[in-house]
Amino acid sequence: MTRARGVLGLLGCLVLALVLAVVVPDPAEDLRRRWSDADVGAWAGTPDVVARVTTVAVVRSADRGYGDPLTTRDALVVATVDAAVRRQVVLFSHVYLVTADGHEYAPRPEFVSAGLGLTQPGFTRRATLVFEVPPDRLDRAALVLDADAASVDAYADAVRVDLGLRAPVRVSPETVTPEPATVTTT
Amino acid sequence: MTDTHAGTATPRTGTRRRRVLVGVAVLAALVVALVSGWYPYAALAPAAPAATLHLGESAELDGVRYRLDRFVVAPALPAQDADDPAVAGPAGSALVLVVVTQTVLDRSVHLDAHFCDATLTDGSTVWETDSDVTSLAARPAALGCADSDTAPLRYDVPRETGFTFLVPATAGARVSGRLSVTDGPTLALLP
Repeated sequence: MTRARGVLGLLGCLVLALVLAVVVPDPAEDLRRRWSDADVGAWAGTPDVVARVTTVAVVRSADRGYGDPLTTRDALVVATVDAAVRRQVVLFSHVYLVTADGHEYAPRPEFVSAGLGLTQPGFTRRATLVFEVPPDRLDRAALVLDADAASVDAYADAVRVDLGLRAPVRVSPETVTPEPATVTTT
Repeated sequence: MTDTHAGTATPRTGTRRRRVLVGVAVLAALVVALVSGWYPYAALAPAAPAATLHLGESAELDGVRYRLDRFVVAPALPAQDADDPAVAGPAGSALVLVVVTQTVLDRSVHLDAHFCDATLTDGSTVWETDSDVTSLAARPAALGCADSDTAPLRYDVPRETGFTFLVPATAGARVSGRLSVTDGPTLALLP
């Protein structure tokens, strides 16, 4: 009787471990975030960076500064960002637009000189980010300035800004020209 | 008369043994969790400097002699090309040039793997070398401690390495440097 109870207990533990392994997401793929949320115009911050989105435009075309403008049948979301870095260098290596249904879009590489890059503490970078996104996914889209390196055993701090886009989102036919990024002392 | 219990475990001693085993297992699990959790966080803490160098001072560590030759904090630095204007950062910023001369004395030091990393700190903020300033300002050819095509490193031959930084001018007067050699010592560099 005691032996049977022990075997049953062991089997129960194994089943529990199996269920947990299936149900609990892989921590290496589902990293935990401590979000700092804001709307357009408001500052949001982590220990290493304070940022705000100052303008948002949804257009069909953006001037790259060389050759023909980048034109799309989807939409280009052009967001101007101020990012003040403090405490330590920030690479801004993980910046993306996330849609309400979880799709992530990286900034278009043609505009890298206008975008966010390595910034030393004590300085503020003003950058323009350009994302190409299907218009029907723009409702409640947000800009995320994620941690450069996330950890599986701690929370990673990240800024998330609601871009204020609500369906139906109108795509302007105009062409915008992103300015090169500038750096000033904070 | 025969002792029928001799050499056999009674239910009471069996229970006690199980409890001891469970206790040992729990203790071992706690020790493993403690050690495995402590190591990553210990690695995050900056290593204590093995030596502190003021301007002109030298120290020999792990078979390499290091000397702090320059620690310049200025609104602008001369450009690499003498015909170009001086290199400056945004308004309200300062540029910092730190030059360390190293002489590798120990033949067991691998010249092409003698990597290092330089930072500035004011105690709470850490600045890394700035690629824009590095590419424009006049400085020694070597950007790191290891041997390279542009700045060969030889045993017993002193070689300068230059590190350039961009900091707010308000922090320029109170920064100090850190030179961390990979798998080696960390040096504090004071102006």
